[in-house]
Amino acid sequence: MGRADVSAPRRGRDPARERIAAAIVEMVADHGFLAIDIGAVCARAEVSRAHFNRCFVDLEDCFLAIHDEAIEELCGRVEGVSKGRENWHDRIWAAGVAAMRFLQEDSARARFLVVSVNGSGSGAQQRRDRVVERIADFLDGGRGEVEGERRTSRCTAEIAAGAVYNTIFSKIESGSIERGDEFLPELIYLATMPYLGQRAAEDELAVQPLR
Amino acid sequence: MAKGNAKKEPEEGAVAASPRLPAGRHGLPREFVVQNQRERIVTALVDVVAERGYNATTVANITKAASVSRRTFYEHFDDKEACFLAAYEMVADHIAASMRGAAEAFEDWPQQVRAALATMLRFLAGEPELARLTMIEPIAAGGEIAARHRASMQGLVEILKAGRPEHGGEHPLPEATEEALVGGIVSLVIREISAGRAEQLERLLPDLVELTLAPYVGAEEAERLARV
Repeated sequence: MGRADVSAPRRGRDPARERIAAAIVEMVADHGFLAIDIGAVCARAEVSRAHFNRCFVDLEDCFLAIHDEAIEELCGRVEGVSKGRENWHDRIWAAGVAAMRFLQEDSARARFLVVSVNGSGSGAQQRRDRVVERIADFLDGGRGEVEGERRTSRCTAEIAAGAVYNTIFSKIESGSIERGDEFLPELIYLATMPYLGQRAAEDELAVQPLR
Repeated sequence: MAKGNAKKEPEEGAVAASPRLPAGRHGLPREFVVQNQRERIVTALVDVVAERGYNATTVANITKAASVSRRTFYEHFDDKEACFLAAYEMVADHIAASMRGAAEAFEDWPQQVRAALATMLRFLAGEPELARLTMIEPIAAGGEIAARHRASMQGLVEILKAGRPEHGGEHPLPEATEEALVGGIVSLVIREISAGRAEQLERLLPDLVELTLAPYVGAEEAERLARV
């Protein structure tokens, strides 16, 4: 599928495009991608169809563009807080807290980003895979923490990333992302256990970082 | 300790192609005809979804591939989703039963986990089209189908939960450990199938076993068990 030239409207602030973004996030989070259409999004955003067509090729293009932008914002925050921290363990914690804050800020956006990707087409699936890949890239830095003769591979990071993503998915889907204070230590445990070992990773479970 | 080899190997293809009935007055019992039609429709759906993906598949595609009328389709299924779920459940139930059977052949819990994972990977590697149908299409479809897919993973979650007594750590394992581990396993399997490497899935077994056992028996022991 082609992409609309969305760069032009984004050079300056485009309030109509921002309203489209807000509308599609809320509508997809509430009803799912397959249940909405361009007309409904335009009506919710109070923009003309012509303006929508200037911004996006079609509804899937709109979904993917807004999804990409939100993921970049999330990644920017995570990279911002973890950059400059030399210790891998500290980076994991900083990233975990920043990501949790981002997801808790806006429950519709969290659902749009993580849960609604299911059932939104192959492009959305590729986005999901890319997010898991980026989490795996981040975790893969833990290979330097492994002591002794144990080996870890890229698969280690990918499985751990999938476990973390799946846990976040379940929490958002069940509407309990606001209880991130309780389960962030579990996520850190899952992320670090393959590298730090069971005993060291279990120490994470006693941490209460957000309270 | 192993009781012996797994009781049964996965069957060659859970959804066997059904022979097409001869046209005209064939004199076959109605019950047989109805069952035959249903199987043809389900088999056709598997073929069409493998070619086009679930979201792009239409009822017309399925009826054409099955050589049945639209009316016959709706005599068996309410809609495309119901037809997909019938196919999905047939395959998912087969995989789940095979995994349970493989696990039950061993008394030792780590061996049970290894046998269950090996059985799943072997089936998916041997049936790339069914691998897509059961692991990728439910997520692309979303809604009820995706929910059913997540529920079907519960069998593996239960096998893993049986390992909790093996855990010797100071803190109890987090409640969501098993679901998270299964999520990690499924995520990696999906990635491999999406990348066109379904036939090579069995090479993931050592890594999957190691990561799955580690929270229960410790990383060092998990690595030893995985590489045996």
